[in-house]
Amino acid sequence: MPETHFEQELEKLEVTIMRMFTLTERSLNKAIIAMGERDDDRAQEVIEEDEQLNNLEVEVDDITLHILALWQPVAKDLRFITGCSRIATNLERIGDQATNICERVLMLNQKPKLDLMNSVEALAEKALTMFRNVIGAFSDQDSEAAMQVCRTDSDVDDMNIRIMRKLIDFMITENVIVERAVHCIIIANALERVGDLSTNIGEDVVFISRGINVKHCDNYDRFSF
Amino acid sequence: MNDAQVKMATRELNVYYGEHRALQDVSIPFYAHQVTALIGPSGCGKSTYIRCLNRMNDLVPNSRIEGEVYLDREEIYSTSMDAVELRRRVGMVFQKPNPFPKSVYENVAYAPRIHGLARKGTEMDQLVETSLRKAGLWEEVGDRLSLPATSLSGGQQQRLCIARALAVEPEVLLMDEPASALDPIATQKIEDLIYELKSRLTIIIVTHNMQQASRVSDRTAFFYMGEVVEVDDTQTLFTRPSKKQTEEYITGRFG
Repeated sequence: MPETHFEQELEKLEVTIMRMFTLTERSLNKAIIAMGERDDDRAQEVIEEDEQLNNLEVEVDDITLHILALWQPVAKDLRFITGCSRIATNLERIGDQATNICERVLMLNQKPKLDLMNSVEALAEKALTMFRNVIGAFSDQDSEAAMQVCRTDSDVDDMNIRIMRKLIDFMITENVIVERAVHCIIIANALERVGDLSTNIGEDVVFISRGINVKHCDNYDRFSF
Repeated sequence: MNDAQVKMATRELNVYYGEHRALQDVSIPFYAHQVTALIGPSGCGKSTYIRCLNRMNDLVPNSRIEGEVYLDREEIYSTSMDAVELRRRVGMVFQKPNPFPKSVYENVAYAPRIHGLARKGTEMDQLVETSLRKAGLWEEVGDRLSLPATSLSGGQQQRLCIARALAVEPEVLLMDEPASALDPIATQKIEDLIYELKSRLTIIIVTHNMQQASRVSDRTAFFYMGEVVEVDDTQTLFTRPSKKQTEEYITGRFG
């Protein structure tokens, strides 16, 4: 049990952020399954559930503003509160990317599956793993695990570029697949954004636990904890 | 690192009251034209410490001081240092406003007259006005200089005490919880004044109010049980303190 009123407020914030993490992970996972299994119903569910994440982001805004105004926190408490505020924004955006993926899945499902979807599914697994790892890093306040997530972002970027090149080559030779290829590119880009947003969260975890700002860092290997 | 000039410093300062060691090996540099806040729980030694900086503890029976206190590299406890001149150079403002039972004018003129800083009446008038302006009080009391100082509000009385300290043109101003007895508006005026005064002075302030320390100071020292736990730039100390004890105190986990 938290000992003080202030600690109760902090716990409320943490619980709300963890709910956001849980819902975001569920949406992203569902979107990826919907893509692999060409499941319209599941894709539709993700689109409809996005509003829950939007509402939770507003709730986090309210809680953080309330704590800042009433308690004037400092040190790790201040870092936790401002970090959670940024994390909530990133989670809401990951939810938006899950919705974007599902909107394209619904369009792709109206036509035969492209062979190149296997590469997109591999990218999806990588992005989902990054996101799951950053959830663990946040809940354990593990800055090294968070940095490891940041370091893997370049792999996701590279996979996305390779997929785009393949799809462009394909579109040049087979113009019948252009519409589906465009949907695939948008999905791959959405997954690459999930990697970026997970990296942002990883950077916030480092800030919360260590007080070090590693944003926009060229080389995450410079930091080890 | 801090490139500013060190105006005052203590080196391994120890203070004893009888057998009790109230301060243990306290070493802090105070940089010119900066505000340094001293924070810590009640009884941690911060008021004892600030009183060493202009030898106010000389007046406490059975007290003993070891270590060194420097003002511009001159040891203030050396026999060559005149305590009266030291207290002119290192002024002090206390927790509760303590104006003399005299007029507003006489409160400010008293010390300059003793120190012979203004001879003619017009010089003294000018000095009183300048001091009251520096303390942000002239606009409020300039036309009421003959009124008893005790008729002013608490916040005005405290600024009068600051004007009184400024009248002898100190180089360092010590402030022992200067706003703790004041309402939020008067407190804000004192804090604004501290911000303005640091361009002329080096300021050392004891405060129980953590937000005040973070608002007004450039550097902060955290005291606990007679020792300095941590001294750092205020922003660093309040966002990522290096010591767990500091973190626990400023976040309200103990103290």
